Amino acid sequence: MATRGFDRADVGDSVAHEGFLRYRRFRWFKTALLIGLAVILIYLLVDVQPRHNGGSWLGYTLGSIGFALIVWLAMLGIRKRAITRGRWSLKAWTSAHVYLGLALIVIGTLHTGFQFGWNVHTLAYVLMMVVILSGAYGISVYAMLPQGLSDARSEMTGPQMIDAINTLDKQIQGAAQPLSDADSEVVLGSLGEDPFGGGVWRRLSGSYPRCGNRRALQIMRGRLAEATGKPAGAIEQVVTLLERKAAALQRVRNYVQRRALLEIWLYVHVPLTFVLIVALIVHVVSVFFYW
Amino acid sequence: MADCPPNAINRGPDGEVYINDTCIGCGNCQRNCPYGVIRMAKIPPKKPSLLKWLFFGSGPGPGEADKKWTEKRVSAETPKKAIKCDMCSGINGGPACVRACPTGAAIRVSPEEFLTVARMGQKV
Repeated sequence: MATRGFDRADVGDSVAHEGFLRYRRFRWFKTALLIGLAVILIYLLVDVQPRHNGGSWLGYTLGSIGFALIVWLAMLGIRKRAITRGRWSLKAWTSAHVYLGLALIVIGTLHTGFQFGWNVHTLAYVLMMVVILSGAYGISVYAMLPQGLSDARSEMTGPQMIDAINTLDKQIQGAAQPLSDADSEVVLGSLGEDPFGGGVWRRLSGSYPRCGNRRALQIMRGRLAEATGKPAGAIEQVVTLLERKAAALQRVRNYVQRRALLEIWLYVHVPLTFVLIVALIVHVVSVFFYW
Repeated sequence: MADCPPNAINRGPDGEVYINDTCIGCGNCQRNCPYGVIRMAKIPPKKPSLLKWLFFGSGPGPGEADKKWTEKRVSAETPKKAIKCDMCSGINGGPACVRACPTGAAIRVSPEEFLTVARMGQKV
């Protein structure tokens, strides 16, 4: 049956979108909270001499749980790419991934016994925290940014936005004909701007200081202020077109900025996970080798 | 259904339209579909497993392989069959796209509830 995969009992009678953070009335949030509190309680009640460290029985237990948890968390990458038959849901996996990943902060930190130094052991801990924090950034942008994506492009599609800019380019080229040589050179500098170009920093910041269109608009506005008579009409038309192009470029750049903010964290989260797993193996091997 | 010589295309109990294996690839359904959701395609060759792709980069990876990869491995004589989304009616677990959505953005609703759900996010 088509509706088999979706459990209506969880959201009441009406069908509704249930986000991965609220999945099954925050089941995984509650699970992770309980695990975290239990671990903290055990840590406080157990007396380890001389002080809590990763090598006590509690330290080894937390370390093993943490290692297994890190490997399981990394398995999300495989689970999401193997769409097998059966009654499983990636939303459930993602919900568990997020909350158990946050619980790892408690498990990992208490495993260290708050003993840090300039060594591979602390490196593994730091990598783990960077991965977790990049994930926390990821879910906060996932919660806030997607709604604005279609507003940002005024409900146009990508190809439609590019077509709008190409049409304006053609019109600007035509309107630049009656201008003087110097002016038309400035105006034609606005053409050929690739709105999807620009490196990572351009996209994330949304600022394009060397935008040819902005420069052309600035100069032509100045010329409009001092021009009179027939040339003024041509300049006014060019300024109008440049302003429209500025709006169109702004729309595309806004959309590109939101997409970049939505995606940048994965370029940190995933590669560092693999570095973390390597550091973890080195950490475990060196602990037992030099025991 | 009308116009299907082997009567391969039918509507299921939940409203989904499915095409079973008796399809002969005549293309009548594709031509007559008012929504344009039926397409003719050759059965693609088997891909290398996911782990082989992960470790050795063999194969096109998860998801539907792109046309170039498929065309190179399928003979020109192979007949095409009609395919369309059938809400994964033949497999356990419900629509794969809903199960594969990590954030819960994709859900399956029945036609009667569709407008209610679609309007839920709109401001009055």
